[in-house]
Amino acid sequence: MAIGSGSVRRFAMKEKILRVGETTKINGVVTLADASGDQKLCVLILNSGLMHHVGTSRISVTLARQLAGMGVSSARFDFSGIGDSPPKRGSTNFTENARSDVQEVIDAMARDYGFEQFILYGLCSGADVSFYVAQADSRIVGIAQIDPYLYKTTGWYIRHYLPRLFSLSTWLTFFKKVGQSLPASSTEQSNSPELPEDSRTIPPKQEVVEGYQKLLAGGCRILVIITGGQLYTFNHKEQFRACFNQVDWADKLEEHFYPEAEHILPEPLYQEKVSQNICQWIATFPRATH
Amino acid sequence: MEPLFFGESDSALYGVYHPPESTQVRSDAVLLCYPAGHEYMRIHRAFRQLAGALNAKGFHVLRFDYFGTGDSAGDQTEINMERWLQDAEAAAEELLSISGCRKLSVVGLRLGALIASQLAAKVKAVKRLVLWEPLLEGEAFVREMLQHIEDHGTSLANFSDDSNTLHFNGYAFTERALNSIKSVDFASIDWANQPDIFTLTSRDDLDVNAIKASLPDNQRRFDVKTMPQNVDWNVLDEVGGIYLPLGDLQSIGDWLGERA
Repeated sequence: MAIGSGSVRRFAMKEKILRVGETTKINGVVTLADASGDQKLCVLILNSGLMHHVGTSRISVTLARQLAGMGVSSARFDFSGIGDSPPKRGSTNFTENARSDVQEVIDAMARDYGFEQFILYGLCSGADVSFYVAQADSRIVGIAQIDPYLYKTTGWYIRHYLPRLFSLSTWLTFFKKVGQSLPASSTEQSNSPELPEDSRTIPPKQEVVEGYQKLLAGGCRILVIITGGQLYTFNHKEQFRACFNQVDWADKLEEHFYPEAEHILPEPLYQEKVSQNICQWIATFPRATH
Repeated sequence: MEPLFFGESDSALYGVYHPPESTQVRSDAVLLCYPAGHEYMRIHRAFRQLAGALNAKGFHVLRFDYFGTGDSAGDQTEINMERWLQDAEAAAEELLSISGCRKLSVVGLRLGALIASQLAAKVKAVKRLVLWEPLLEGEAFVREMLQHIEDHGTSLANFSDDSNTLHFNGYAFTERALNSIKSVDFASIDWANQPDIFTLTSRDDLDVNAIKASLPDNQRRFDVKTMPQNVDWNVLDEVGGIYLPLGDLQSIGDWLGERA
């Protein structure tokens, strides 16, 4: 069998190798629903941090196959330098690379398969990339973000600190620290072997507000799912709209908050809930035929 | 890096072939066998780096996803060790076919070391075997997960459900899968083929004598390297616990890089 020519056919789908780019390839897998020849819509599943395109707990593969089951095709792939895609020579930085990689994949899926509209799905840094690429490409009709950029609100502070005001242990800890002049926190020295860098830069809130406004003006719809991994900055479902109260969401925002779920969704219960949220939301998009 | 699907179209396996990047191309190829469950997720990046390091030494390399894992066909509920050994055999054939090589080295990590051992004991083309943090019994893999749950308590991620499926760090092992994993152990392997063996471990207490005792009396070469580290395979952090043991990659590359 020739390299890259193989495919998986199972249930109502076909999976093929995705290779995009002239010299350095962006690699991944295309999951084509049986009915995809009649459809314009394709979902792109993005990397989360340094996790490769299979996703934590294989969630990206499961999602792709569920989408195929409902007649929606998708592609999951690795940004340059992550997972199964080699780094680009002379590359600038991760954010710039990732955005240009998504554009390249969109162009390839439009050219090779005839897709005209795209939904981007991403967790964490994948959510960030989806946010910026969608502002630059009108073919993107929706973004599904897990744990997107978030900012504390008055409501967050009240819910976070009010219970602590009445907690004996909080006051005992406070007085102990004052008495002993201890630093507020200490940094534990990690003894684990060298790990890849994984940092996330949070932009100024106004930049995100303007970004969402631009997306909505272009007709893009937004699904936001927030996990308990963000409790340090997000602690109630209404906070998202309160945080971005300058944005007129109209009926273009759907949000869910799962405080018991961890950021990378290792819980089968929340893997299922999140997949359901995404699939049901995608099912509401018109999938007009060519 | 050249991704590919291979095997039967209704149960195809996903792999990534790394062609040699050195001017000195080796006549043997290296097959990498992943560990199972969340360990696969944690070590994927290290496997890619190992493949790259071996490419630079002139090796053809293939890493692949077992059935029901990664991008390969199948669901987690369908996995079992018998099938995974068949997958390893299919991957070995694919690598020999792609590369044109006639000799193979196999590297297996943790549960993957048991699969690699079974493959190496059976397939004549395998000349060298790397046991990387090997588990000598499949039972140990299951025991470690259960011990973690006992030590840290059940959670929404780590528990056994009503059908005795063990959910652990985002991955599910059915009762059938657990039984098949528990049924495999190094001591029961019938060594019809005898590769040179390199054992790389972070554990001072790995029973190297038990490995030696399981091998035929005329075992040609058996090297051991211990690099003490406190590795907890059952820990996940908020970014997935990516584990990149650069020293291990160097040691494996050095051992395989030696001319036989």
